[in-house]
Amino acid sequence: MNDTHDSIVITGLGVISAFGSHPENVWDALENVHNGRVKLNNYLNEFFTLENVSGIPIQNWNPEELLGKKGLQYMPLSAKYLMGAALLAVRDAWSEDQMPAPDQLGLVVGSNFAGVKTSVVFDHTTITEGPKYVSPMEAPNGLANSPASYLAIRIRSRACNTTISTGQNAGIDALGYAMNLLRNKRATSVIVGGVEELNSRVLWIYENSGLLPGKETDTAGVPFNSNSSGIVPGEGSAVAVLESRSEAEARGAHIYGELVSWGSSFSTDIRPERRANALERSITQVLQKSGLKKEEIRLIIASANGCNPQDRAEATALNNIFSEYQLPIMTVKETLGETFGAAGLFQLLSAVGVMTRGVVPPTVNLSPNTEHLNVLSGLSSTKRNLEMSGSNILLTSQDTFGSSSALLVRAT
Amino acid sequence: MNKRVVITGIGVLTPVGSGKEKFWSAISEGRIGTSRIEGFDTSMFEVHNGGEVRDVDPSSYMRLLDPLAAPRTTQLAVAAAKMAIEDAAFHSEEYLTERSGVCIGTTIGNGSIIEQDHDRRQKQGTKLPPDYIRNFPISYISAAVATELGFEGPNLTVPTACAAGNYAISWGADLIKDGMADIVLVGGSDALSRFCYTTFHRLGAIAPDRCQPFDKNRKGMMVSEGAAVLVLEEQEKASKRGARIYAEFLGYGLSCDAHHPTAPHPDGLGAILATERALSDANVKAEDVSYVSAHGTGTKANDSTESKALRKIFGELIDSIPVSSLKSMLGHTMGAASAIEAAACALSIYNSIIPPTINYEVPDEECVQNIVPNEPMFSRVEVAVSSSFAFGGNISIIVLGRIDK
Repeated sequence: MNDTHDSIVITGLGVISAFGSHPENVWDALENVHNGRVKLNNYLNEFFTLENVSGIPIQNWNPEELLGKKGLQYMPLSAKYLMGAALLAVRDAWSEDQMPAPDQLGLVVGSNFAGVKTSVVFDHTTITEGPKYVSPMEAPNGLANSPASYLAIRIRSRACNTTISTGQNAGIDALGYAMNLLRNKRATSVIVGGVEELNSRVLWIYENSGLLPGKETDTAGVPFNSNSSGIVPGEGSAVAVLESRSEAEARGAHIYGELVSWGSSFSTDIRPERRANALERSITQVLQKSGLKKEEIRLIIASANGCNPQDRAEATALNNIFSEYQLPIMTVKETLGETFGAAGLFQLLSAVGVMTRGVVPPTVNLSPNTEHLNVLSGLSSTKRNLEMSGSNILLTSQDTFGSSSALLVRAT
Repeated sequence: MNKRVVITGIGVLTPVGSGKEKFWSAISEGRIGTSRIEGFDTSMFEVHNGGEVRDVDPSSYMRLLDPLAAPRTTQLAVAAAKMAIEDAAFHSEEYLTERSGVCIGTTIGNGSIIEQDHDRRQKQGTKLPPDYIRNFPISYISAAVATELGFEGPNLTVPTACAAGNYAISWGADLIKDGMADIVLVGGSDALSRFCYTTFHRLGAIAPDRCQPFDKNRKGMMVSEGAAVLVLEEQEKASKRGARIYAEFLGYGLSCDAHHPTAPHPDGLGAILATERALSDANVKAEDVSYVSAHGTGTKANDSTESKALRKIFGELIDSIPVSSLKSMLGHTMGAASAIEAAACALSIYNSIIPPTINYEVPDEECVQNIVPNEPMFSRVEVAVSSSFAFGGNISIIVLGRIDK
């Protein structure tokens, strides 16, 4: 799957996050452990009922400043986040006269819950007031692919438009899918985004999935810690522009890094040791496809979100492969929150941050009772300098239901 | 990427019948599966018909997972997958489980949970159990299929609306071509959805009585449910195990109209682009195509723009290439539609019969004319093109071909 003659590179980045709308804002938040957690009590209703759950919502972002007023009235929040991040990524990658032809510009989005809010409103309105009282203007918003749909119209992306819903893997899987599109020449450039929004009904799903803390709300979101009481939900969008190295170099684009290989596996048994085997297979796939040895990995950006037993499975997998190496590991979800479909893109954005700044952010809330696995000695509660030139970063992720994904990124 | 991918198993649940034999018999004979909806109360709507799977209880196919905790879309996908595996005469020891993947498309996903929760709160004042709600995420569909069948390779779910089945099929084929899997279960699944019915009703797109694709007097589409799963295998491995091969997956093309969230591009821009790319990917010329399985929803806009695109791509050839729409019999099964149509194309190639377009009475000068009207056509099919278009402008076209037996 890997074409060594013409690798796939990142030439644009954009983000809409709780910490701001520039990659530097996210990198600062990670490095300096900014605390974006607030109580989500304003989302409480008859469906979402857990009081004092902390989350990391986006506050005080005005989409009109970036997107203009036109068309926003009926656009769902997820679409606004995605469109905002994508427009910033497009501006980062191309000047107006460099934009690829619509037939060569593809779009891939990782997202899971974009349509939930509208489908709830439509169905509730139908049974309480009648079907003629739903808004036809919002009809497409109940589908998971609506953010990608709005974005494609805005940026005139015609080569392809695919939404992927593989839980927390969706962002990494979207990147893998986009790599395949580019390698098979189905597009010359692909905009890859991840997006998720917080609302009462998404939190209702998280609550019923047992992902949120019950009473012990202050101990949530502690990565790789068996005492962590659940996830800290987040929202937002991160977007990367991908193209072939030859295209990028021909137009003199800034290259942030290179995507090397993608892998995906599933465990039919959700016990941590079996889930660990699946993640190990995903990691082995990306190593085999890249031709790299495991000792050539310089940094791991894990998906640990403070939810057991997923974190235990991830730690076990990493330990089984990398325990003999003193390999730095970092996590991002304790600061950025668990953003599900956007998480993989936030991990990629974080990887670019490390490559750009040469600094590995700390893993916050790291406590002494962290699992006693050798590999986790690679976590640090303080930031570290790390020269990344030409080095490889491994991103890992797991879905609630047993699938796992991995992605290799290389610094230029 | 020079591996060949073939279809070796077919599992379907549709309003005209479930299981390959029953389905094929029904669509070959032109039976109509749509009728008054029983799954939810339609008295509040101005129309009442749709398509439901009534001959099979999909929950009966679940062995490892609790069917009571599985939403109907997931149940349909699992049932279709098990039918497909049985049809492929596949034995689990023939492939490594970690090289056995799943890729399923859907439009509404497990949205029935929301509707059931509303009903329960309104009528009984109670809530659904958490063990059921936790299975709402779309990724549960493919996860449940994989769990029930012991497939531990790549596990992917694609919610690209009404083109989702073709997206899933093409991604599954790529997983094999790229060496990431030896066998992949691909397809689409969607349960009948009140939200979906509301959406199309509000858009004025549902026909009152019947679906008449490409007919001058067509009045719209019909919301239905269903599922189809195909077994894709690498051709050499399939031949080695002596598998029956229905057809070869020759290639696919993607595009996006990038025009409107629900309406197709008036000139069929995306349809033309995707079809041209599909033919090129399959290394097939327009004159080689022996059958077009149209998206053919029965709405004014879809059928006329799809026709415009077909005429642009095929020129005068489109007056001689048979075109039909299964939706005249099944209604629109959403994310399952293109997967079911792919199953029909594979069977059409295998059996040399082209299923008809039912309810076709008056040709429309704005539409393609060589519709297979009301009766099946007995004709050798070398290459079939199957089209799918979706809200969001998502378009995926696949090309299947006869393989030498």
